[in-house]
Amino acid sequence: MRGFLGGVLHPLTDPLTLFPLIVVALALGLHGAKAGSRLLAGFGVAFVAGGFFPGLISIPPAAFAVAVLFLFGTYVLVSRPLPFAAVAPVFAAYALAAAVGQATEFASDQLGTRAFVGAAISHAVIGAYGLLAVKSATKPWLKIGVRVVGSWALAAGVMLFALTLRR
Amino acid sequence: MTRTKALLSTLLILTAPSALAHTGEGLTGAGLLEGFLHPVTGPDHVAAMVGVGILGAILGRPAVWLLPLAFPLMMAVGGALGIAAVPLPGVEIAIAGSGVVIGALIVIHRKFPLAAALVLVAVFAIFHGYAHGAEAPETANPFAYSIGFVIGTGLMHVCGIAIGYLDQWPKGQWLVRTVGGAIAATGTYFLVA
Repeated sequence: MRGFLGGVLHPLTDPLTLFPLIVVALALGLHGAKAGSRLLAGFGVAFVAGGFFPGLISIPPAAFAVAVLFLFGTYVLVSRPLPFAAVAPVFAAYALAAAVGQATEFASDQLGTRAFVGAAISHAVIGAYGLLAVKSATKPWLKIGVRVVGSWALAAGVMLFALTLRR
Repeated sequence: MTRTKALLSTLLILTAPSALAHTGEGLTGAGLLEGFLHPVTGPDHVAAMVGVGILGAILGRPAVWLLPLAFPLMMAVGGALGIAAVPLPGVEIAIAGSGVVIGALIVIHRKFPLAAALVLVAVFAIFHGYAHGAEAPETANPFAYSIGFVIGTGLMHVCGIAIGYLDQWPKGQWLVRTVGGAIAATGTYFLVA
């Protein structure tokens, strides 16, 4: 249970995982309930698939966060949903990469499969909440609020990019 | 209401101390708080950021959300320039000047084109961001710092928007113009100091 709980809490307590995930979740919500749910399902499948390949690719966490914040932050900021066929692979690619990173981390920390399962559930729940939040944002000021969050994500990505280059 | 409760509950859980399995650098320590405090502890910066929010509220939609959207974004660009040590002259003068100009615009209280407002805010934001970037500390968690930095800036804008909404009432307009005067005075102080 400890490994599982650690896995559940991991994305919630690591800002480098959590904030990009929130932005991705908001991006899911831009597509509405039906398409968003399909995207979330595909996201879940891709995440689980990625868990079978720890260490497959090695992406520095900061670089991954920057890429996600740039891409999905801009998408949320613009708030013009693209066709399902165009965005589904992008969401799946994010899920795969995130899963490989998590699986690699859990394998090196010897937290094991339970932790990964916990992390997968956490990711899915956050994704669902993001989808619900954006879908429920029917009032104009709420929709604007979502776009502002997107702009903040993009701004944070720019700052992080510069700070990591300095290091 | 059920969905709202569910969302609120989740937010509370996320912020509960016991949920923080990672200690130190994750969300606290040299990162989030540092980034948050950096833009809100300089009076010249605070004056301009609050002023942007007020100005947006005075100009009305869509300026009320476009200006606070543009400022953090362009400030991050300026921040990146500062971190990269790209030469940019007159930073402190521009920062002080931003307070003077924005404060004056609030006091004058006239509507002007959105494009002009956006350009003005964007230019000032770059200088503000440059100063923050040049002073950015070596932090163990640059991502948390970035998030804190952007949130601190955004919250200042929200404060300004809240003040700016008082503009709807005659006494509120007087208050808003007084705050604008204070912003201009702050800018002038830093300009001559």
